[in-house]
Amino acid sequence: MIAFGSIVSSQGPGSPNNKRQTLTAARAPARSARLLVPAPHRPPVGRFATASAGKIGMWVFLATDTMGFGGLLLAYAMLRVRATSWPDPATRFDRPLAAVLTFVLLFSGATISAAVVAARTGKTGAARVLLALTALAGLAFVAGQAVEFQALAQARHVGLTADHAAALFYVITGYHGLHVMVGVVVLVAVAIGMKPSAPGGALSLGGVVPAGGVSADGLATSGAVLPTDGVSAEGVTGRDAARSVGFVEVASLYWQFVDLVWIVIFTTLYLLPPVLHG
Amino acid sequence: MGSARALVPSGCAMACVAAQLAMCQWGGGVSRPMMITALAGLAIAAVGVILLWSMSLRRESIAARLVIAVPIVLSVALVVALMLDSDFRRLGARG
Repeated sequence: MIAFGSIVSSQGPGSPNNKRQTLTAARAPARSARLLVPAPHRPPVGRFATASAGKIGMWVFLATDTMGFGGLLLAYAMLRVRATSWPDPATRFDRPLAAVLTFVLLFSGATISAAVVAARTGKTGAARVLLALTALAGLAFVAGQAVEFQALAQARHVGLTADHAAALFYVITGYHGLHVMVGVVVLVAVAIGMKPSAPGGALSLGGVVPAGGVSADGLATSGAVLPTDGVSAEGVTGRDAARSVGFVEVASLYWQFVDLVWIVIFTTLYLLPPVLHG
Repeated sequence: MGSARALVPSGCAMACVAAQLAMCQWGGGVSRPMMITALAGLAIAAVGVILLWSMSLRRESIAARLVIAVPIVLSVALVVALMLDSDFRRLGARG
């Protein structure tokens, strides 16, 4: 018999306090999930109580990385605003190619979202395929960027030291391309290291998942069996499968961030019309 | 169903980028400030969709939201402030 912390009450079922508890639990599924977790496995109470350590670490990393990109874009904005002349992005850069690469990257964002859903529902094979598809899209993006760099430097004779606009273009897009390459490596590593789900399906979601309750992320688990209790035919425990799902979620966070930053870069570098000096 | 729902945010972001490209292609008659406002607005919409839905920021704790949102908002605010300051100085020098 498991004691469910705050849900257990010494008062009768019809007492006002119990009714209030039931209503509160129905209105706040995430909170009720915390209450349903057995006392020994209850996550520590705090501001990050429902997020896994990996997720918190990734969010902190993304916050610092935002400042890195922010600094570069700030430098671009400052130089562009104060320059007496600035090349028109429409004529200097290959905008159609950049647009195609943007859609490729956004498509990869969709595939990794689907991979997270597949991993959460225990479809490890599908998750692996989707992760591989995402990595392939990332590789296509980097290859397209390399083609653009080569065309710009050799065919149009706009090298790294041509002017401020060229220098910032190479640095910002190159820095982003580096992020994409790191992301590809991470995705491949996660896809290879994924454990098949245990009986009952893998339902990690980055926190402790109550049986038949609601996950820490607020998603219903439809009364499925706790994965941490099961062992698959390959000897993989539910906890291993849950960790795999956690890795996919963290990798997805990183990849979506790479997508997000590219939208800002694409708009700033390729689309904004040049300043007209009178 | 879950996978299909996961594709919606990326679809919205793609639509925003397509709208940006259409503006650049056929929005020749639009004034520059209006063009920049529209392009920045569409970019912010796409970023917001990815941040809130694809990255599930809306489901995170308040602390996590602040950790990620504060640097983004501050860096954008700083860029806007510096650009305004720069424009003001240039206009001031001319005037």
